[in-house]
Amino acid sequence: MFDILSFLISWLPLFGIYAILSLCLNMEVGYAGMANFGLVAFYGIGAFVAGYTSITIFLTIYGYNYPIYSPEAIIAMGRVAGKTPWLNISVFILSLILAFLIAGLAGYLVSYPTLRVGPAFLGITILSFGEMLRVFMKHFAPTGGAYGMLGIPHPFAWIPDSAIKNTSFLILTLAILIGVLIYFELLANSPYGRVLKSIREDETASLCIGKPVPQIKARLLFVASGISGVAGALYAFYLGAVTPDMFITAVTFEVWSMVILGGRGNNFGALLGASVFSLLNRVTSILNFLFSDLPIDPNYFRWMITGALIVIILMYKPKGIIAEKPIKTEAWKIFGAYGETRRKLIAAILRIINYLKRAIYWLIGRETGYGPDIKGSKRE
Amino acid sequence: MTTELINTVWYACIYGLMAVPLTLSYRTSKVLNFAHGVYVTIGAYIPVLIAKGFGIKISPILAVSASFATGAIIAMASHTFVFSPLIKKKSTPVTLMIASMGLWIFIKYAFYAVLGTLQKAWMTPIFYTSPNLEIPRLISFMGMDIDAKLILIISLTAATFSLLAFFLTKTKVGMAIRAIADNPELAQITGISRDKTLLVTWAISGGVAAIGGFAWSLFAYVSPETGDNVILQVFACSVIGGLISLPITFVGSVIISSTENLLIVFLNRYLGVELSFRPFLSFFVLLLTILIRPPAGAGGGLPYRYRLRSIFRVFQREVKKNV
Repeated sequence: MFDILSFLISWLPLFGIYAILSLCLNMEVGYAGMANFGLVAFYGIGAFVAGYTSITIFLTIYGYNYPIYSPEAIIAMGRVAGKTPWLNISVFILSLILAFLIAGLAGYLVSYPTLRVGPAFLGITILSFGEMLRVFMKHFAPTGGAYGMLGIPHPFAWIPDSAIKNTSFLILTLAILIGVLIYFELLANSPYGRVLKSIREDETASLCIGKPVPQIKARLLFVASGISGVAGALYAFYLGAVTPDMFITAVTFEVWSMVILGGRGNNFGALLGASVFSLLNRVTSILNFLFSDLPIDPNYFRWMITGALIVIILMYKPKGIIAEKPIKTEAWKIFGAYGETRRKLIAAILRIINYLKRAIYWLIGRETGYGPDIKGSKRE
Repeated sequence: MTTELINTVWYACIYGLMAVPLTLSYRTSKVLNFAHGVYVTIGAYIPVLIAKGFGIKISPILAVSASFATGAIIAMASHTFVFSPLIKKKSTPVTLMIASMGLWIFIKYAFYAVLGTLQKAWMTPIFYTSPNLEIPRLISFMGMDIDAKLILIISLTAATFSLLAFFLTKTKVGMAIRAIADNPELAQITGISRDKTLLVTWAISGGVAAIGGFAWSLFAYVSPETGDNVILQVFACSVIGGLISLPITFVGSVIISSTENLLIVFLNRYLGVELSFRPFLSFFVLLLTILIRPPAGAGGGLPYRYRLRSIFRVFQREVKKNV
């Protein structure tokens, strides 16, 4: 029992973070048709911004003068982190907001040169942006270079019991996830969401109707990158450490595989994919921990499964597990939705009547003229 | 200064060998292949594996042909099993891109697993090595001692590109490839089989990329991340070529290698820019290319006007009014 609880505590925050990421990517790919291959850049920006701001604020308030990556600073952070609850919470909120703004701004700036050219160039440029940022951060001294930053203060570090501490962080993450999900559902079912779908289907046509396609895409990229930055900040607080090598390109592909598995253009599909792949992630890391002498590293197997799944789903089930559903417009709510339920209800009633009729005829011993049980009937 | 010049030449050759096949495969099959880096990695590893497996010194000719064959086989397999069925289903370019990405992840980590097993079986370090080549260290040429590997790389690049140019312009298969690249429907009407032509194209692009990997392994250590470490610059070279022109792609590789090796040194010496800004420079060149010379329509996009251009036009109009 305890094991299941601790497993849930270690899995669910990861699920929440990956679910936020895959919702953002689903907005960009499933709705607007933008091939964003550099999601990890904005995720990493959020994580680094959160780590840097929180450590800097703590060190300045408590009057330490160490550079933030030095061992003295890490020791000092460990001493100081649990002292003042209000400071922890407010620094947490402030760094989430900063992560949103800075990552969103980066997304907006990257969108300017890239959105006007085709999907191939967009993919190349954003992918290069992510890789370049990672290589740069590895050599950038003020954030600790390749070693990154350690000792990021947990928002609930002032709770002595670690189980309660982790559970409250988990609840916070899931609350943010639900907020993001509601926001994206509203966005997808608004007129703006319909414009996004029109852009995905035919860019030229929506340009001809008079929709400012680059602007709409840029705005979406701002929002989605900002929210992935928030996910990055949550990840930084979850782990308590940030290094550049956590944000390799393969992370982007993991999120992509979540979106493709669940179904593009469907927020709940993204949630399903995120739960499957984050579970896979946890299970392989537990396997790695338990059996350290396996002939082949289970992480390689996880990535191989990820890659193979992408290709197999694209070839045999390109719509994903949960296929795309019609947008809930006002007209659909009035006519489509209730009309559909009524039709389903009538069909069900008719089917029941049919079965009853057949049963009665079978009891009497009379031929019904339809159904699989009659051989040599008039139809043949 | 000599070191930087030699590095420039070396990187230009390597980027050329890697970027030109990328452009060729995109232009012919309209698949932006993210798995390109994997062909490079495998091409770099094959001579190492042969030399370690048999415990011999490998001759350059054998190494090049083995690399080419392996890269070609893997590229052909990826066409047959992934891209060809997807193209037959009329998938969008974005879908093809995602499929190539999945292929990248799959092959990369499968290769990691193979290497890990081999390392345990052979009991030798395999993740950071270089091939054991059968060539002299220095060659005296017109009274100067020149590094033999540099000469090998330059002659390899020259030979590969001249063969490629001859193949694409003079032979029938090469002309079929160009016809498919320009207008697939029209080419198919004249009786060219699209699938077979694409298979040949993939073989060539995978093989040449693998030769690029071998050229990389002559000067630097080989690791499973080799292809991914250079893929940014390779993409930048291909974007300079607009993903269409092979010669301009090579020019792009010269530009990128000189920015990376010469410009950063100048900036460091005279403006005090740190050497860690090196990746920014190639990214900056990439962005500048897209802004100045937008590859309209080539990547399947719309030729939207940039705001810079419209500002320039307004400025022109104002000048005309005033004059």
